[in-house]
Amino acid sequence: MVEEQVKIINSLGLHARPAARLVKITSAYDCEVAIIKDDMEINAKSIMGVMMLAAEQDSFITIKCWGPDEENCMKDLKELINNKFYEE
Amino acid sequence: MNRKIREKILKGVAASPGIAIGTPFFYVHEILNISRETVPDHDIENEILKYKAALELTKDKILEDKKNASKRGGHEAAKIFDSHLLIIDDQVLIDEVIYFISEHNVHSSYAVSKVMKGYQAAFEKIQNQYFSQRAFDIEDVSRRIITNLTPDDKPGSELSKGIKGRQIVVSDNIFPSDTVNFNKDHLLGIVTEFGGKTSHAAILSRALEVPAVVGVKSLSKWVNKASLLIIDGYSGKVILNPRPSTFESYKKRQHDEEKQLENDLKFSVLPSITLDNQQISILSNIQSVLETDNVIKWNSDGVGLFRTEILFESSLSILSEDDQYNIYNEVSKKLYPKKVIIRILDIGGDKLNDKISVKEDNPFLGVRGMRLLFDHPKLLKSHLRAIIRASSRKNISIIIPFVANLTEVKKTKALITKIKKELSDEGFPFDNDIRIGVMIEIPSAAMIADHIAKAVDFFSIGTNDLTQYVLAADRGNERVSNIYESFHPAVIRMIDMTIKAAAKRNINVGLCGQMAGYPLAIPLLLGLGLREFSVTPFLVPVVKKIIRRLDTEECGYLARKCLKQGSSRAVSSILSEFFGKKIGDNPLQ
Repeated sequence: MVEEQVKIINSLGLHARPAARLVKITSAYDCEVAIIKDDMEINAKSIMGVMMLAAEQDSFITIKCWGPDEENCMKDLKELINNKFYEE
Repeated sequence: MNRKIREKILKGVAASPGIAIGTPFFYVHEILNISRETVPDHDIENEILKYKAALELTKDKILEDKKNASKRGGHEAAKIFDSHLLIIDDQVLIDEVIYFISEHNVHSSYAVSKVMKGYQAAFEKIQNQYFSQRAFDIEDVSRRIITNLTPDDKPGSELSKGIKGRQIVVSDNIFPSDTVNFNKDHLLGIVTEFGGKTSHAAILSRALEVPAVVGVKSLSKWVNKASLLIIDGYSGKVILNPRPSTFESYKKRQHDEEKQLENDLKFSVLPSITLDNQQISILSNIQSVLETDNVIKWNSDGVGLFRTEILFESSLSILSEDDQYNIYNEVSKKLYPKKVIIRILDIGGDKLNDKISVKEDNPFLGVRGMRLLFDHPKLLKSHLRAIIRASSRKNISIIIPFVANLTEVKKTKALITKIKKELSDEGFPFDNDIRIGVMIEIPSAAMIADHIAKAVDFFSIGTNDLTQYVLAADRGNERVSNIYESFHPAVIRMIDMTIKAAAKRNINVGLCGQMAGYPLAIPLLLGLGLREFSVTPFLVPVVKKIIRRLDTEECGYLARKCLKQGSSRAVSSILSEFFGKKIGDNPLQ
């Protein structure tokens, strides 16, 4: 399992569109992905779950991936988040 | 008849003007209270298939609604449906429902309602408004799935089937998916328990031009006992079981209004010229693409003020440049060759997204309009890019709101120049001569209008804000409503200064506050030299009728007399007298 803390830097935070992009990535991998914020842990293959985190700009989330392609999945997710979901 | 409640008046938010009297049609979203029905083991698989089929069906319907919405120019609505598609495609959610069906041996609609309600409740608890409002989307999608699971019995899903003739729709709230069910032929008016001025119900009713009152607290508690309703879309009152005298007075008002409307429509085809052959432009104030139909219907000369705030407030997330471009382009296309003045997003610290708003003690004197946008360069840039990209038909102008000094004007102009350069480098077509104007609504801007006039192509006077800032009286505050006087000589002098400054520089000047639609004010404004009025679309013929009976020279005398007065009361009495003489007591016949 890989686990990392990431800061949300895009101005909208995990709004519908960014959340949809994130789920598109997690769904493409076989590994399981969970995101934890405060005391909530959600399945990152669910857009509803991701939005439920209500992660705003400058908040921190912890990503956990476990499964065959966990490393690549983590890499892609970090790239997406650090590139502001390619929206700004 | 015997145990009816007596007349009961409830107060809500006036969302769309007009009066409706009629019987209530309860548009209930009650199907979420699904009773639990067990399914035997051997039928579980079948139940899951049924659920999957309903998902597909729902998806098709959402896609269809999205297509219809885009066709009608409802890009705002189309976007909402996009996010509904995301919800319906959520694999984890789908699996959860399937698990619920097989684990508890229940009916699929019960499982959907249970699972979705859980999510809904979780979202409702979120502090951030953007996220908490997603609960409505979940509810809407969930309702659609359940409706498609029980195809024979569609409670409330098709308004046109259940409604008896024309009725007043009474509901908890209006969802985006309901929109397609509404048809003006069946609709007298809308009342909802929830929602505010930017809710879906409010936007829809304004576009359909039916009266509406929203946000009526404890509506559901009382309305069941009502057999007759009056909704007053001017004051926000809802009257249940009106007593005969109330009924008669509203009936009369409504009758007068209807006659008037008929008359207005006939009038709207006539040219808007004064007795001495001066051509006057009568433009419209709008805030959604849907309202462009009304601009055409009332034969308005174009749009004097396209407020962009509602687009942002009613949208799920901050609109992207392309989303905005689609909206502005649609308005430009629909109204071409009529002109369209788009106002740069004028949001106050008390409005919009939690992301952007700032908490302030005195938001009306705080970070509003350009002040706020300069702090959000990305938002401002995408907004301006979208407007300029939509300008290739050359019928779009930009107006800068809430200007207090020249620096703000110059800064905005410089930014527009920079954006034009970028757009041309990127190969976008646009109007290189796009006209830039300034809203004159802060007293300081009116005072230095002669300087501002050198820097821009036109002015628009926003009398609502100008009046409240000149008199330091919030127009929404009932306790100072006696201070907020549209005819206060200070307000009239500021309007006079602005019009003179524009005339001296030979630039265009319009007026888009509520004052432009006050019958009494029209002769005064004409007399001050105003030649462009901008009002709510249905008021266009009203303004036109008055204008056609006036002579600008006579109005000029009137204006000069008013400018010499020391009080609002003195001005009002002069205006009333003039009006009585020229137009008669009932100008609107």
